[in-house]
Amino acid sequence: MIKEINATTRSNGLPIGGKEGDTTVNAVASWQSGYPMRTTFNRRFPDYDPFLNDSKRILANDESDLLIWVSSFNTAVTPPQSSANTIVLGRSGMQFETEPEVYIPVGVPGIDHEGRTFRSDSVVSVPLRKLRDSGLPSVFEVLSAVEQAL
Amino acid sequence: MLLKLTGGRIIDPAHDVNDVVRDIYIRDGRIVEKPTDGRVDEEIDVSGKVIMAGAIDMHTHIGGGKVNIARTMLPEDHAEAVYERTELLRSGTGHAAPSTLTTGYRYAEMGYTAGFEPAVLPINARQAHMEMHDTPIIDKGGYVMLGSDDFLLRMMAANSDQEAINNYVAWTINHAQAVGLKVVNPGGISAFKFNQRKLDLDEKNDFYGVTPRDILHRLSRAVQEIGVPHPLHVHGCNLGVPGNMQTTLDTIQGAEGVPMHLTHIQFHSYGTEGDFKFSSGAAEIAEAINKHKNITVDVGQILFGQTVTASGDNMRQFAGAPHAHPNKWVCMDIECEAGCGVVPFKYKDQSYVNALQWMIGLETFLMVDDPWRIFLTTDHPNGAPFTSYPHLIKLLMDKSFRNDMLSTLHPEAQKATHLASLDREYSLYEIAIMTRAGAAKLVGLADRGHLGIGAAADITVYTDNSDREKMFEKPDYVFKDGEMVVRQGQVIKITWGTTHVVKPEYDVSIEKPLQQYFDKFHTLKMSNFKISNDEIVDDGRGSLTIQPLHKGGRL
Amino acid sequence: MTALTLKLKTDLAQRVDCSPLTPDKLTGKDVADIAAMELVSGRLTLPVEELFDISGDDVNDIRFENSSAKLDHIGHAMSQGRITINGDAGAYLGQFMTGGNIEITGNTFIYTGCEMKGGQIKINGNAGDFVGAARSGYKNGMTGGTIIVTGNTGARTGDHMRRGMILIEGNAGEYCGSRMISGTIAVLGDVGKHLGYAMKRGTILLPKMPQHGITANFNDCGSHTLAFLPLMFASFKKLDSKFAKVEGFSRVQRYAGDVGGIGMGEILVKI
Ligand SMILES: [Zn+2]
Repeated sequence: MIKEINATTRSNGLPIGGKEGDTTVNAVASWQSGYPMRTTFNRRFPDYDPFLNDSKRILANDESDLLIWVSSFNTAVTPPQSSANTIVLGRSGMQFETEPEVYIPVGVPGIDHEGRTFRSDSVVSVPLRKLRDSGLPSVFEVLSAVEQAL
Repeated sequence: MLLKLTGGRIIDPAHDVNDVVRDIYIRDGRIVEKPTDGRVDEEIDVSGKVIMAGAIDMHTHIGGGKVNIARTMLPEDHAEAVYERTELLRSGTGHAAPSTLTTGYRYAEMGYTAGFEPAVLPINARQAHMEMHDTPIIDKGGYVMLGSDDFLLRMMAANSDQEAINNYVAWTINHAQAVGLKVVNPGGISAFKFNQRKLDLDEKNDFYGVTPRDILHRLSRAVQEIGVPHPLHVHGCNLGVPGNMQTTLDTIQGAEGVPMHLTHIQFHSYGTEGDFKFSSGAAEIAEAINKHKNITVDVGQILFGQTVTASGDNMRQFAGAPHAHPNKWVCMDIECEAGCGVVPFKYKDQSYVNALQWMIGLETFLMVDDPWRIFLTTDHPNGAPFTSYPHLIKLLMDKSFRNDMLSTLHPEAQKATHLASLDREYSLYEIAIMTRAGAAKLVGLADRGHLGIGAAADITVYTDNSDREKMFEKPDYVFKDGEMVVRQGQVIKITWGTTHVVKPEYDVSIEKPLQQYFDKFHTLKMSNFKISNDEIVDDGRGSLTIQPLHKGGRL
Repeated sequence: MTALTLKLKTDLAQRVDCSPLTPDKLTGKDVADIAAMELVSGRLTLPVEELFDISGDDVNDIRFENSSAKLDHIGHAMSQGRITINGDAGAYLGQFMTGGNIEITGNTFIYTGCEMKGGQIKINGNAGDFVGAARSGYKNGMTGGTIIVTGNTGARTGDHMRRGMILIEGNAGEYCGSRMISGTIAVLGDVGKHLGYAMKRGTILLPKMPQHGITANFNDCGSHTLAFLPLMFASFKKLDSKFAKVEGFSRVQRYAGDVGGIGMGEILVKI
């Protein structure tokens, strides 16, 4: 409809969506792989399917034996119930109904360490600054350390 | 570690060296003198090979919001080109809008060692830099876009003095971490917000009362006066409109001797003659370029096949949207600054208009005399993906190949061109000027694009082959900052190039009105607008290279 | 020659891409060749013989026995021959097929007949979402062929459909005929909400008024006697479907929409 109206006058829509870093992950996934989230690398190349690669569906159908849950903004965003072994890189202070196999507390981007995030309209990205010295590692630091150790 | 490349045929136009057999010595990423003691750690025999500096793409859309929109909009494009991960390389996708990693690998494999993103929105320069940060091997940089931003237009409407505009331009280049200044459809993107559907060179923006000519005048002077080596990078008015050649001629005339770079000139060289009311203006445009030594151009050659057009010029992109193939597109007004339009497009060799566009681009290449003032681009991906450069080089260097292709195109379009009568064939030396020495000089890269002592050791080694497409698509070796990154056309090592910037001086008093402007109108704080040097360096993989300003610029 | 029969040996945890197991791609292969072929399953590839007991040798007549909802891409891009499935099938059954026949006794998962160009798929059960649709982000759904569903379909039946026929003996889910460009969808049972959402052209044929009515995005164009309908019903007679037995009619109430766009689609309801 916006497209039709613009034939004669000007009209805009502002799509807003995504929180807890969703828009950022979507943008970065798009430039690194060509596809947004819900892309599998099973076949050694990016393969996008928003339904088959829906992680909730995958877990509900027991199609994964390992869940790595990254949630550095919000302690309330905890992993879903599943039979998969679960590793959580979660904001420090996260409480679980079922304890995950591994929980690595991490800091919050923009509070405990620097970072960058896309606004929910995904047009503009903003810098996140370190506001306190909590000693908590960033997700990047944790993953880099794991990669080093491998 | 001293590396010697022995016996190559050196083509280094920056030093007037044309096909001279000479050895090259590399230490710590730089080209150095022959060591006095003659000691060499490693020697590579390149005798008989053609040696040039790494190629530089001075106008290629490789990062920023609109490229990412093109990626997410076109799964069709990705399914056509899928790259598996290897032990060394990460996986990726994309032909016209490749993922960042794939972009870096493909450029390096073709002997390119730098690419410059020409449409960096100030408000989202951060994203452009993040995408370029994830583009391996090649150096990068961006031209930041002004000209439809409300702050400039307000200043101009209020008749601010040139000094203030210079300050604003320098401030923006600094804080967007740019290497040059771009203007896209000057004032037109703003005019489109007020429902103007075209804006000629001397037509006023309805709201601000400012004309494109005024904007070009102010911004080109600003760039010159603050000493930024890259002249104002101009995407002119009326892109793609039949008859726009007159606008382009007026723009060249109106530059009044101030340096100006007219980009993708092919899209701005159209006449209105003939049954189709669409004709080539290449001869007149080339003549004007030849006459006006202050003007440089890149061509924006189109090549046939599927691609996607991505531009800040949403006024023209909206007009072109009905031609979208496949039938989907995005046009956006963006903040107080700009816009963007992403329209997928298929150039067809049996379309009169597309065939003539192909001819106009080649005519321009062949009729502009000075290879130091014309640059080889397809305006990736607008005219064609950058991976088609070897094919384009062959078209320029091989007349019979060019004429064979020409003879297969839309018959009416063939009658509308005298391309077949143009005998010029580019030499290797001229290709090296366009893609290396000239490009480095144009962008303002002091230490790139040449093979002199002290230059960065970005070097491409080719096997001479009369099939120039084969020669340029698969170099024997590519060195980036002295390290071999490509062997036999395959990436063998991943490095991360630097980000080239300039840092023109400005008077900090400009921040007072800017602070008020950000607080009142913008959705971002001024402090968040500024991109720090640390952000470019990021995890240590990135780096900044500050290029020198021209004399006369205040540093 | 007897049908090449692939009997699934185990209860699958991971999904399996069965796209190599079509008459086209198995032509010229003997049982040993087929047994050794690798199928993508999650992050692994597995030889066919590890997943299936193999018998028979006619690659133009392939039977999946004990089939599972985790077997994806069965009949991928097939151009001829026959595939019979006993049990369920996963996603993308018959994607890109240009000819031949697929019949299944059970249910299918999403994207049955995705972007198919020809041939016939018959589902003796229910089909999931996006029957005959375009892949996510693509513009062209099915462009030919026939899909018959004896049970129900999920949401977005015929999304972006351009040509061909989807015949549903049971009910269709929400957004049936969404973004349809051309082609025909007929539903004997009920249809869900948002029927014909963003429909551009094409025909949705219903023997009775839908339970949620017709949305405001469709204009009532009155009652019509349409001469092409009896011809269409006559063409159904050769199908192995309830549609073969439907008594033809030509009097319909015609609704045109979706007027949010070009509005040239039609919903025809028997009167
Ligand atoms: Zn461009």
